[in-house]
Amino acid sequence: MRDYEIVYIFRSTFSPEEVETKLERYHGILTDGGGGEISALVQWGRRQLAYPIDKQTNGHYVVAQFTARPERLAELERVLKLEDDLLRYLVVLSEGEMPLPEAIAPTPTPGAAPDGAAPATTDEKPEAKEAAAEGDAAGDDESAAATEAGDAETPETEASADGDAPAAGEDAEAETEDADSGDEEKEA
Amino acid sequence: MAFRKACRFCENKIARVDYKDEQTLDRFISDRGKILPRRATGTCARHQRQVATAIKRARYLALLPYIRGYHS
Repeated sequence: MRDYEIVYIFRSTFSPEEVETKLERYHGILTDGGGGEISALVQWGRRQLAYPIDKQTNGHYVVAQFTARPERLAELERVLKLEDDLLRYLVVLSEGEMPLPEAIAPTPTPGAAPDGAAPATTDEKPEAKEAAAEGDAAGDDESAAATEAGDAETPETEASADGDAPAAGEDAEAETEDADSGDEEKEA
Repeated sequence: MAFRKACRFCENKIARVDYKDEQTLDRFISDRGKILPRRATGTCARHQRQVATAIKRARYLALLPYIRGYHS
């Protein structure tokens, strides 16, 4: 028994119900004969492909994590290869460092798992993505924190964390510049 | 030697680079879609290996382009 992760890309012309029935069939193959278990199933839904596959520009993405015996996986892959309406699929070993429950929780949108886990990120992109992922809930929390004076600590700490990182970078830069100029002086 | 920017993944305590996180991976490919070298991104060796694998998986899944800006 091993932990796997599979990503399916169905034709976007597929309705969600059709996808559902397909998935049930596939996952039935895995659990056949006992032992297999689907531990997580996340629907990304319709998404634009980075390049056309089979003249399709959109695909319906589904990510699932499961445990199965290797023989059952081989059988699943045999079936998947025969599917015309499955644009792509990718099976990889699920990473041991990423326990399943944690991986499921922050992944409502495309692969936000690692960024979601890291609290104070200095980058703007992951935060924006988190906000987008959590949607209204996140916005409400922030506004609530802002209004309540007692809870104002969290934005402050975030701001300081954001401010510190670039400042440290600048310091380092300044140091190297100093070192460079020093060298030049010696040469002169 | 110029100062080395710390590895983004080490800074954020990310043990595993996720091939599904194309927004993060996007920062590690060039404007033509090539994988950027460590010297350009400051990624540590361990994470650079993971980034390379993750980008290749993401390309296969059409999350990232093989060649960006190319429209036949």
